[in-house]
Amino acid sequence: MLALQQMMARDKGAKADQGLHHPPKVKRIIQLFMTGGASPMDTYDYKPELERLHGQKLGPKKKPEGFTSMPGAILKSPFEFKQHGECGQWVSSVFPHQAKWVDEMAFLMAMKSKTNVHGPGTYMMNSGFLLPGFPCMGAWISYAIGNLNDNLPTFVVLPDAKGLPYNQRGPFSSGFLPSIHQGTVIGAASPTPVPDLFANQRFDFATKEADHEGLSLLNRMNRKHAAGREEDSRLNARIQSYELAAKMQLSAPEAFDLNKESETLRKAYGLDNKVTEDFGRRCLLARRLVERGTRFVQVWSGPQGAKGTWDNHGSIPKELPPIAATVDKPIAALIEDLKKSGLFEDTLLIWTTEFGRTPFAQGGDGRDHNGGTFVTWMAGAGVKAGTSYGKSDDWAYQTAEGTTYCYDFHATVLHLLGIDHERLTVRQNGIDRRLTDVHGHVVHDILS
Amino acid sequence: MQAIDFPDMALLAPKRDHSVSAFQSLVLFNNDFVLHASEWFAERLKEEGGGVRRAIELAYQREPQSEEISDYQAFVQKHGMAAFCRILFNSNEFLFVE
Repeated sequence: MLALQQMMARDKGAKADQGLHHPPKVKRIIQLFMTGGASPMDTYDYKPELERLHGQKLGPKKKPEGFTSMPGAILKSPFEFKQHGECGQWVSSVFPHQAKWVDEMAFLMAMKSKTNVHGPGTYMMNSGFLLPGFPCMGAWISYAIGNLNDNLPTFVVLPDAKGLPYNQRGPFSSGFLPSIHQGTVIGAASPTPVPDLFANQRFDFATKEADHEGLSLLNRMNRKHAAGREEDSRLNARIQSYELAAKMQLSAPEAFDLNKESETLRKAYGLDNKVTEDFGRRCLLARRLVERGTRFVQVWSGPQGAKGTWDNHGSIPKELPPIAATVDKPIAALIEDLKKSGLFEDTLLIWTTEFGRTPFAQGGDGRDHNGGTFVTWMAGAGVKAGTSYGKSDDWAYQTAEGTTYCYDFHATVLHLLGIDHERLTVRQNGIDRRLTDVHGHVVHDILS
Repeated sequence: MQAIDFPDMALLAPKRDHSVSAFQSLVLFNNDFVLHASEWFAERLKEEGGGVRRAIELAYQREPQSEEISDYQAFVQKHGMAAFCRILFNSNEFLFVE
C-alpha cells in the first residue's frame, strides 16, 4: 500500500509494524475547534438542576486551582433547551441549525481535561500533553499514513480570520516528528489565501520556464547538500516542501476557487452574510480540500482572547449567541454537504473545544473555565449516528460516568483511520512516544 | 512574514519558532522582496564583473566545485543571472547556518 511504502521509506527509525493495523472506516478528517472553552450547559448538556438551584451559593468555598476568580452563585442556562431528532439529544436555542442534524452525531458527553488553562488545555486536546513540544494529532496522522494524493498539503489548518489560537502555531506542531508533518496554515479570508503562489508579472526573469528549470536546479543543489547531513530532517523537509509547492501552484488555485460552487451552496454555508462568512468559507474550503485528497483539515472558531471566542467570562447571554451564530449555519451546511456528496462514506467530522465552563457565575452572568466536563461530537464514517456516551453530573461541573479524556478521543479517531494507537510509536529520548502517551481507550460505544 | 515564523507581537518570544511548509517555499520563491533581492544581487555581480563563481563565493562563503560551475553557467546562459540568484536565495545551503 502506498502509504505504508511511503512511510517505511521515509522513516528509518520507526517501528516496522506502523501504518494500517486494521481496515479503516475513515480516510479523511475535518476537525472544528471552538477556541476558548465552549460552555456545555449552554449548548448540548441540558441541566435542569441549574434552573432549580439558580442563584444559590453552592460552589467551592475556596477558589479552585485554575479558576480566575471566586465562584459565584449557580447560574442557570439563559437559553431554552429542546430535544431533537429521533435520538432525542438536548440542544439549546443557540444551535438551531446543528440541532436538525443530531441524528448524524455521536456525542461524548463527559470529556474531561487535566487543566483549566487555555494554553495547556489547547495543547492537550491537540497533542495529548499539557506541555509544548509534542506532535499534534494531525502531525501523527500525516506521519502514519500520509496524504491521499500529493498535490495538496496533507495537514491543513484554517485559523479564524481574527487570529491564531492559543499557543499560536503550537497546536499544529510536529513536535519531535519530522518537520514536514506540521500543519500548513492557510489564511482563507485573504484574497490570496496562498500568498505568493506565483511571482509578480513585473519580474520578467521569473518566466514559467525559468521557474520550472529553476526548481529543478534547486532540487539538485539541495539534494547534494543534504547528502551527508541526514540527521537534520529540516533539510529534507524543505526539499519536499518545494516539491509540494510546485504541485500546489497547479492545484491550489482550483481548490481555493469557491466560485466554482453553486450560489445556493455558498449561501447555505453563509458566505452571503457577514456573521457566517469567515467560518462558512473555511468550512466549504475544508470540504473542497478533503475532497481533493487532503487528509486532515482543522478549522478554528475564534482567535486567542476573550473577545469573539467561546471564552465567555463576561456574560453568557451576551457573548455566546454571537459566536454560536458564526458557526451554527455553516456546520449544518457542512454536514448536509458531506452527506449529499457522499463524502461522509469515508470522511469524519469532529466538533471539539479545550474545556467546559463552570455552573457557577463569574461576575453577573458569565462563566469561568472548567476542565471538569465538556462535550465533543463526531459524525460521519464509522460513527454510530444518533448516540451519546458518558454523562456529566447534575450541574455539568464534573463528569459522572463514562469519562473520556483527549486520550480516548484520540485513540478513537486513530482507530477509525485503521491505526492502533498503542502501536503507532516513535522512539524519542529513550521513550516509545504515542499520541495517547500511556493512556487511551477506543470508545467503541459510539462506533458503528 | 508569518510564513517565516514572525512571532505575534503580543507575546513573549525569547526564541523564535521554527517551521517548514510548502507555503513557506512559495513565499521564498515568489515574494517581491526575494525577487527584488535577486535582481540587486545580479546587478552587483555585473558591476563587480563577477559570474557564477563570485555568486557562490558570496552566497555560500566557499569556492564552487567544477561540476557545479558548468551546471550553473548553463542555467544562467538560458535564464539570466537574476533567476540564478533567486535559486541561491532559496537553497538550503544559503538558508541554514552550520
